[in-house]
Amino acid sequence: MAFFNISSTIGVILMTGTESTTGNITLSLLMVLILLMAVALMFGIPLEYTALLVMPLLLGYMAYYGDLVAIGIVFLIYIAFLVTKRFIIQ
Amino acid sequence: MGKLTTALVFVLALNVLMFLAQASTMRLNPNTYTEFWTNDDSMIDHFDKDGTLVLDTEAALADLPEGKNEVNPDTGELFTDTFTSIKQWIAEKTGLNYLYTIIAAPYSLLVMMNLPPEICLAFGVLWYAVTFFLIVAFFLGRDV
Repeated sequence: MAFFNISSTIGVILMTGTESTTGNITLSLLMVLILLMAVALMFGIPLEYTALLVMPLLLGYMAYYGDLVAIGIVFLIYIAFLVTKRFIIQ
Repeated sequence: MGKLTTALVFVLALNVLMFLAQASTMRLNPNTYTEFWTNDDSMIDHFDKDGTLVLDTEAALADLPEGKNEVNPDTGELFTDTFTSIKQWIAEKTGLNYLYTIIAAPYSLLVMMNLPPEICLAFGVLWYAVTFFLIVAFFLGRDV
């Protein structure tokens, strides 16, 4: 199950969230997403920037769960929008 | 940045992101990864040197136009020849032929996602028509 780096911060959150809170690795990912968005909203960071943190996690999930590939591709299209909008034009 | 350039940047970014995502999933799980992206007929394949994952730096020279177009005064088709020549000149000398590849790029992505053919056609038509309109506007020198 531990296909992510369990020594990193998000890895620790995922592992402990799975073992003691949600019991499901996908639900733990959802929890991390909600936490990231909450932190971004609290500090006034644009929500688009959380996508850059979520992308490596989702890539890991895409590698191991084939069902998540379609959602991952939609997410990549969203990232392409962000790259076009934020990083190249400006 | 004009709208046509934005469309080009978007398609290029999408191609690169898909390529990197496929490569990373292959590295993460070499045994049972899901293959959702191939370089066939993509923009990355266009600049790839014979599939070796090396940037073909000579491709830029190959993309630059070098054809010539002639108007034949003997055939009695002077007007159509002139129009065809002007169209070819704009398409080739401005590098517009390269931009034609972006109008079909998102459609191939939707097909790769194994979406139903109705959805692929619908969204493909949207992108195709809008981008084609932008290319025609580029011909006319409008806001692109």
